[in-house]
Amino acid sequence: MTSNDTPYSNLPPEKFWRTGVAQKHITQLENVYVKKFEITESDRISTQGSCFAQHVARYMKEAGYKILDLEPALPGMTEETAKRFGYGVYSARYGNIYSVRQWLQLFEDAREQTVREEDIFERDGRFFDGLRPAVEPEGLESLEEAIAHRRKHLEQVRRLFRLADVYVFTLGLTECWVNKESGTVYPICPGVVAGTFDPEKYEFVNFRYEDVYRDFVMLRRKIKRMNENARFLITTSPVPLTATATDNHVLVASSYTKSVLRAVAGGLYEEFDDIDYFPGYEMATTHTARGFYYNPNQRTITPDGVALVMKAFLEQHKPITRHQPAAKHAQRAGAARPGPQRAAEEELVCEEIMMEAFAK
Amino acid sequence: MTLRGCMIGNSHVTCMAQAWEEIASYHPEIALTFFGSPGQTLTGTVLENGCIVPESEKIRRTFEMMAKQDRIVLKDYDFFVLVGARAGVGVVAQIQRLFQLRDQPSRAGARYLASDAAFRAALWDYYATGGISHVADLLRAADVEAPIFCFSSPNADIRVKKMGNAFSGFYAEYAEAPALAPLTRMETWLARQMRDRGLIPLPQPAETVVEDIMTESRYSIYADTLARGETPDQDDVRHMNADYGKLALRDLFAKIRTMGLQPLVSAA
Repeated sequence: MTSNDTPYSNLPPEKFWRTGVAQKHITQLENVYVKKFEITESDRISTQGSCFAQHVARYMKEAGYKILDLEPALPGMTEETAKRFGYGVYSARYGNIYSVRQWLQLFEDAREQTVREEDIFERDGRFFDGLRPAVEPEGLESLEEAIAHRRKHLEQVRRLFRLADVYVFTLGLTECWVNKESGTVYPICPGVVAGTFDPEKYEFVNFRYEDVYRDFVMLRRKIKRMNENARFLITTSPVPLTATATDNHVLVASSYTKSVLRAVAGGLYEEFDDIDYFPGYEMATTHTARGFYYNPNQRTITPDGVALVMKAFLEQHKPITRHQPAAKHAQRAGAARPGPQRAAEEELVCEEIMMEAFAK
Repeated sequence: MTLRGCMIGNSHVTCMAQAWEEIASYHPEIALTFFGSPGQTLTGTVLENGCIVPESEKIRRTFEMMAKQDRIVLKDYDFFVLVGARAGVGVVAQIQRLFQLRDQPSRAGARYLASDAAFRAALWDYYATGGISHVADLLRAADVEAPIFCFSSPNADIRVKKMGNAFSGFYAEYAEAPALAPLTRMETWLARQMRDRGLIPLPQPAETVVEDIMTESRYSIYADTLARGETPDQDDVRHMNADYGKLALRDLFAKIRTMGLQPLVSAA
């Protein structure tokens, strides 16, 4: 280093905003993601998290990675129907896991095979598992049946934690609803899909950085006790909140949530060698994309946006299959095309969207 | 007065075609024309000017082979019979293989539970994505007035349980822990859906059924199939022979008599 040199003197173009971003088309960004560890053909991958994780899971599956599916759909079901019943969406039929606390809770419940009767919600004589209310859209016949289903589900989730080598998790929300007495967190406010909202029984919690970070570290430790080689690939969902229960405007609330989750992801990435962060959030949300990758609802991501993000992913974690359909999608996204949306938005399973029904 | 029937099916229609060759002379009041196409390939047909027309050369050839016609002219028939629908209790049993339904405590060892709603959805999807359902849709779209009867694919030959192959696995768990009521509940539900869509489901001939979800071997042995062609396959447990076909036609004709069906076709 000469006397005129600074730590910035010899950095590559992607380290500078002008050459790394401003002078590049959004589809041509380089080295946005550099993998921290390999995911091999033999790694068994568990997928979970908020809605956006479904995209990651689908692309990885198409790319030939060994995505675990411990609760497969009934034979004969079409993919569309299977999705409606929560089959094939994630590695087990737990629905969206929006918060790390919910994931930690699932781990504990699976390990102890704990089923709480109070988490079964009733609506119009049908019974719903309050911890995954959307997987049975019509509910179940009886409380007993709902409990039996939850018990069987937890058996499979326990197997999943025993089997998985790599966990792909998308951080989704900080806001959630908690049972005051038991501390149980719900993926969706009781009363939205099923059950009744009782302010005496449930309270709103907006997790802070420390909460989310601590929950993840605790869960990581528990998982590592079962499999010391377990690794984690985390992403932050670029999908804004559907609604907020805070006093803030939903834009502000959403910014808080995403900032906290992104910061936690960064903190975990810095702290642990076995936690990688994939910056799909940055790619989808950057203003240089001018919102092009958001659907008209300004909330969900277009297929092109997903393809762009996953292209960066698959450049690092190469597809394993020979015909690589996912890679094909990704290449297609390489050329940005303005104009009418090419394909209909892919239907994701998102309980949170049900909140929209409450928007006046 | 001849009633003209149009038999449309997949490989399962073959046993009825073979039976008809033997018994046609006993039924001068009925004329049957058989159109077949293996597997679910009937999905490759379309409605065109009042006819069901194959989209591919392969299907056209099989139509020609069986019926000496390359299309089904709908106005030429007084009734239609669809053969080989993905329905029936045998199909239900296959779908539930790894799953336990409500009211099946004897299947507690099954790996997964399935709600009635999920099971019905799977059953419906399986039926609706099949070739027979596709043809039923075409007939409905064509507003045919003639009744449309429907035979499901038959239950598997009971021999399968002793064969120790992959197919026998479909039935092994059921055989260990039978629980028929939920299967019947599902079969009944699907039959109702079919009726709601204008079909008249006809059950598998009663004397051919054993152990509720299987078929007596003598109705299957030496079955020759449209799919397989020339040589009978000794290990074929899914297809039925002409003896089965005769019983199925007997039930069909009985139903037609009960309904007092009269020729619609002016040429008849």
